[in-house]
Amino acid sequence: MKNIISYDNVEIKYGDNIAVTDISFGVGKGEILGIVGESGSGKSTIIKAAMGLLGEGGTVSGGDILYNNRSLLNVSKKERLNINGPELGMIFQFAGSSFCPVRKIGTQLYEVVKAHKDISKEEFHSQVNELLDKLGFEDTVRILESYPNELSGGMQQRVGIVAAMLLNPKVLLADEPTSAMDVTIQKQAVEEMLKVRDVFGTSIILVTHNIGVVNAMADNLLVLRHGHIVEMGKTDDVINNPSEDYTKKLMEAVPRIKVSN
Amino acid sequence: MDNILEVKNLNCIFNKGRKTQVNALKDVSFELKAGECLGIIGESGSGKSTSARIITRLVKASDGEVVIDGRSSSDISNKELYKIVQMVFQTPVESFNPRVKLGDGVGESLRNNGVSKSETKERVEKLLVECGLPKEYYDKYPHEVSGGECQRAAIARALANEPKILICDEATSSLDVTVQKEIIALLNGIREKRGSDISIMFISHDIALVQQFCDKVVVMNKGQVVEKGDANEIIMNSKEDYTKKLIASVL
Amino acid sequence: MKKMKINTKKKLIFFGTLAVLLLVFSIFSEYLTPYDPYEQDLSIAKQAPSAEHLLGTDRYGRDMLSRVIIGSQASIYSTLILVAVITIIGTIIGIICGLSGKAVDVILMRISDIFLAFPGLVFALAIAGVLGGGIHNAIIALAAVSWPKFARLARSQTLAIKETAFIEASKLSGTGVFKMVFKHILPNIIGPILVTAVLDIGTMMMELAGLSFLGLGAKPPIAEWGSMMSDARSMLATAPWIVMAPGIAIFISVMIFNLLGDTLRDFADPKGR
Repeated sequence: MKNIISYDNVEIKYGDNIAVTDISFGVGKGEILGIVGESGSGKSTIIKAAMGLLGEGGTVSGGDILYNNRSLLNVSKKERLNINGPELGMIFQFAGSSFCPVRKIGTQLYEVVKAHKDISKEEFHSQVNELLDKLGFEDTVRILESYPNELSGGMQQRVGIVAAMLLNPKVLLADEPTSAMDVTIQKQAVEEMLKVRDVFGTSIILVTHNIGVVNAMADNLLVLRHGHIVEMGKTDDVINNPSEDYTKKLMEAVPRIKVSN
Repeated sequence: MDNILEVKNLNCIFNKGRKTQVNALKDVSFELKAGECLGIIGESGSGKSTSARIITRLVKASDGEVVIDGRSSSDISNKELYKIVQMVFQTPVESFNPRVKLGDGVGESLRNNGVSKSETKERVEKLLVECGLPKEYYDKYPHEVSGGECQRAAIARALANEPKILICDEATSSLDVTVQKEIIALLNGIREKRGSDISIMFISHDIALVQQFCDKVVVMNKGQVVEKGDANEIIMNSKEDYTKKLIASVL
Repeated sequence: MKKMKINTKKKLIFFGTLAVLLLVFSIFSEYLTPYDPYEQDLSIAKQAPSAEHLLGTDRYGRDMLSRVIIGSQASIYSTLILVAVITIIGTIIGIICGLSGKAVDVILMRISDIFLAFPGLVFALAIAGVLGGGIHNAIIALAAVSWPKFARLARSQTLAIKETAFIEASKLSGTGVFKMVFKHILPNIIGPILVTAVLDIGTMMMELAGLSFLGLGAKPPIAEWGSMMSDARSMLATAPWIVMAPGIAIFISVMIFNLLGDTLRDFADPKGR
């Protein structure tokens, strides 16, 4: 299968410190790749590099990141606007805090779309209603008329997923999207993201420390440690038959619920 | 076996009478037997932490009683209470003053109870070693060590006065799973060594972890106890819809 | 980013050194005056600056340079005492409010609101007027109206830190209120308070000089920059140097302390480094 986004021997530095090195993988259309690792393993850094969000001092010092055979490195600010959003969408850990607290959700979502394409309010409304419908939201009017703090944390996060999907990106980059959630809401969010993939054929790169979430979502799994890839393969294989010691140790440490004796 | 801790009909109302009134706890009752480990599970806002904070007097209950070792908590002075009940917090590094050495933080309660400086140092070093840290960590500052190491020091601090009840409030939630496993092993070691002299109240949103670590479990939702009983029994054959839904949500 | 930090540090050392020099200068000012600053000689009154009298002489023939030098004592020391007093009082009140909550907090904060609601200098003027002039009363008057700023700051810092896990953990270790304040709260909130205090030195120096200028601070013949300017204001047209000399002294000192405060703030703020 042709890869829509691929990393080729990528090395990323913060100042003089190497954060990740030798990162190579590819994600095909409609595929979900999970990247797991413990804190400090560099997992967030990997997806931030694709979005150009490494921040001050962070640089891709080796290799290349390709999106549809086009390099995502050294992209001008103007081109970035056409990539981040319409091509690559991003979901953050705390979506609630990425909304402005004093303006209604609907207005803010409209601005997101408006920044990228010329669209009337009516067109926007029919589009957003359709999207909310497809993703299984109820009382869409209430959500759009709410201020961010009037929605629960879980609902804010789900709206964050909607915001990322409004521009119908080909790839969704999710940085710990469910880590601040209670389990029941986490399950909803996971189902939402799976629906996004099924309905729109979006590819997803999912960064998380939660093995349960990748198990439920990812087709392929990449295990990261200290900035190196430890193991990569089909999710089932990696979780149930890890070949590396570290992966074994990691998987053993994950508490699993026993449903029967 | 006797109950070392009994919580009877606790109610807790925040912002009473105002528009923002929250009934954080509604008639919460549960008990912890000596030597046992009781898990408290529930989602955020279920009242798990509030119960713990009422027991440790960080929050005042609006109504209800806490009985510790057969005596009503209201008859026990702060000083005495904190020799019996201790807590380990969710945020290991933030639970130590950034400007105070770990060792001094661990030994603070000993110094407050009149133990001499040199004896405190000796006892703190012993505690650190018991909790799996080299005794040189006495002189380290919280930001110089990892979260897991800080949590070990926090456990050492909680054990300094040989408490009978140890409350772990999401004590492993901010740690990586491999580190979490080590901390659980440490707590298991502490239980083994002290037997019925220590009872643990283990608050967590991680149901699988609670099932592994705890004997009994209390399920809470929206400030109320949904269900309580044997951990395996409740997690495998719950009778309550809420518990079933909660367990079904675990991925 | 790293470069900026070094620059802030250099600036801090530079302005810190200037401030220390200024203090040392005022400590030893008695020994640095070329003439006796209080000796009158009407035969040389109102002389323009010359090689003999670098800043000229005032209407009683006193050497202006000597008076400006000795004046640094009254001006700088009273300011430092004033700032120390309001910082300490304000911090104590703020911590009490932050820790106690409820009634005590409400009462003390409403009192501070009353002071904040008046224009500070006007209120100080009224107090100094009631108390009568003199440098001590001027300090009392300014202290009375200036502490609320520090109380507010200390209170908000205390409230923020009160909820942290380490304060709760320390409570569980049986730590009493006094030890809690001095070991756990004060060391963690003192940074921003000190920065504010240093930034306030300039303002307070101006206000103190202002009170003196209006005749409610230091009384002549004591050499104090504000009262010296007040004394000479009728001669602004005929002998401007008598007004300019203390004015420039105030300007330079205020500048040094303000720049030191600014740099200290940048240095203390981790985001700015």
